[in-house]
Amino acid sequence: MLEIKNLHASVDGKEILKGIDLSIGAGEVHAIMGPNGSGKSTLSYLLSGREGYEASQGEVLFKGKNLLALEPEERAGEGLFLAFQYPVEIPGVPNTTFLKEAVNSVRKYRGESELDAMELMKLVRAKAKELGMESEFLKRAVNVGFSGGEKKRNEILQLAVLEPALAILDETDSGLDIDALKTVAEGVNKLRSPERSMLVITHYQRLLDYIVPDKVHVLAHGRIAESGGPELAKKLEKDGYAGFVKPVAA
Amino acid sequence: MPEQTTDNLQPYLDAFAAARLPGGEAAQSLRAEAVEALKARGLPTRRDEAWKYTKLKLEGFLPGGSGDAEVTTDLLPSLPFPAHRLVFVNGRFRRELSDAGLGESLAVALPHLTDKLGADLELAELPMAALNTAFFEDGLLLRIDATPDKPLHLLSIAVGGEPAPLFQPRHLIAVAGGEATLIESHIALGGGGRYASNGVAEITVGRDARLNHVILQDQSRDALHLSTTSVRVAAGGAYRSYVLSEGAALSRNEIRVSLDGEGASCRLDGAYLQNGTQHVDTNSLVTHAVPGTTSREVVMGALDGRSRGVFQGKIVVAPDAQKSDGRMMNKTLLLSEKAEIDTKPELEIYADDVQCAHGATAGELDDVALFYLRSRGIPENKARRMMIESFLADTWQEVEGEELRTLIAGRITAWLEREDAE
Repeated sequence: MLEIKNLHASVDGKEILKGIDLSIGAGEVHAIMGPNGSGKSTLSYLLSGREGYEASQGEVLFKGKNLLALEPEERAGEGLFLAFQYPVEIPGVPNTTFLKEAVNSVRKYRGESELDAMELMKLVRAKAKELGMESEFLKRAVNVGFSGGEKKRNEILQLAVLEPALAILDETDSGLDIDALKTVAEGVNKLRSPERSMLVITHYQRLLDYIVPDKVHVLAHGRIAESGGPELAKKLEKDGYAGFVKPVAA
Repeated sequence: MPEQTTDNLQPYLDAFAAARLPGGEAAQSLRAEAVEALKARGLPTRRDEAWKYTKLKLEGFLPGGSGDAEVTTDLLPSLPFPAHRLVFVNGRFRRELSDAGLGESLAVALPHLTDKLGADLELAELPMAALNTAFFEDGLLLRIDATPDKPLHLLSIAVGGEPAPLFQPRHLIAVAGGEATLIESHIALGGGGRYASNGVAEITVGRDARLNHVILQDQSRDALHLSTTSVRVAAGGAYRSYVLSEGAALSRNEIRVSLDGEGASCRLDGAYLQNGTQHVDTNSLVTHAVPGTTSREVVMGALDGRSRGVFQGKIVVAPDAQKSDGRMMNKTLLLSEKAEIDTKPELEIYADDVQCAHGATAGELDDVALFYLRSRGIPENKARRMMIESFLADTWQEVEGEELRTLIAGRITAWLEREDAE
């Protein structure tokens, strides 16, 4: 599904990613854990195509295609989805309008017929219901005035509606209390399927109690420092990242 | 260095001497007064505070011409809902193209109008209104006593030519009772041509009466559009205007509103959409003359290319006009690095128990929000359009009537789609 080979990237002239190798198969859930500043967010922005984040070396293949050559909207069309750490407020654009544009843009990209307003509402309501969400906030402007938990659930709703092949969850647990975290994790678990891969990026092990990954990778100093099964996350929770952080030169 | 204002003025003084203009003795003495005001202060220059950011080049545009140009009803655009149509061609009322009934030609009624015309215009301060006063030939004379069955549509058709005509309609509108909706469309026949429109509207809104005034300015890209509006609102009355500025090489909307009775209110909203080398200037003055009056102004725009916007808004609260409530906001999206906005909102308050606020912002589209939309599969141009539309939606939310809001929103969308196609 996703092949990252020797990926290097700099932001504002500083090298952040220093040779990442990562392979995620169809239906697999991988977690990337790492301390602050290890390059987690840079990796997620690079994969989703945010301006200002470019690879200096290496390649990324998504379903066999050169991902880095695609525009952000083309990546979404190919089936990539990024759940934002800080979902963006867009005043004046109702959630339903936003979802309709998103779904139809992606369908158009895939050569599928566009949904009319009725069909779309039906789809969105059904997905919201599956995720145990009130359909009331569909009428509100995108993320405007939403609580932290509502914003993250809105991300998961978008994930459910857009049905991507690969979902990247960037610090989805940040800013959530334990109840909100459980709700969001349940939503994500419902969306796990043999056709859908996920990359869960997180600082804390807590989220991985609820979204249990197939593989865990530790990102430190721009490289994958260690990979293992879910037990690696437990070990990190106990020992912290100390073993992966270089001592400061005297 | 002082500009030679009299030289600029000379062609107009010559034209005035040669012209045969309608109206009786009262009208002629008003015209003479306007000419004296023009001689005393000249045409506007950048040295006038009110024209500091707008350079008007009137050379080559001469009064009159083409008011009887051939226009047939099949050429006239219509609104997507029923309305009484009042058609002007180059500033002249065309009865044969208009629906019978509501409005009439100012020129026809002029000999009987004595004290109404020009009563509220300070010609020494308003050079373009002075020029209009000297030369106007026709306009709309409208008195409304009760809510009309349909909105009124003032359709102003321009026909350009060489020499480029300068036409100066003068509208006198009194809403004595009820609620009226007046929609103005300013367009060029065939879309193009060189001409200048210098219109003046004098409006009074009576006790508890309401006027909803929507102005859709889509003049030729080679045209000048100058407009002066003077409004008086009596107790409990409401004047609400919305100006959508899309067209013209240079446009300027100058509006002065005086809230004269307790409970009087006004809304002066609008949006400007400009590109290329277009220039749009909004100049407003709202006077809270008595206690207990309310004003709102939300003017926002999107500027692309090398276009330039100007906003000068002022709220004046007269001495003892307590409990005045005035708010003014100007926001601009700069869609290119070469676009420019000069904005100057002002408050001048002579009472102590008031609520007044003003603000102005200018900025680019939020690139994080743009990325968010694109990351959901929405193509960049569509994502930009969505963001600009939602930004400008703040200007028309308060417009009275669903069909008018739909009309305005539709025109904004169409402008953005044309921008993308270019």
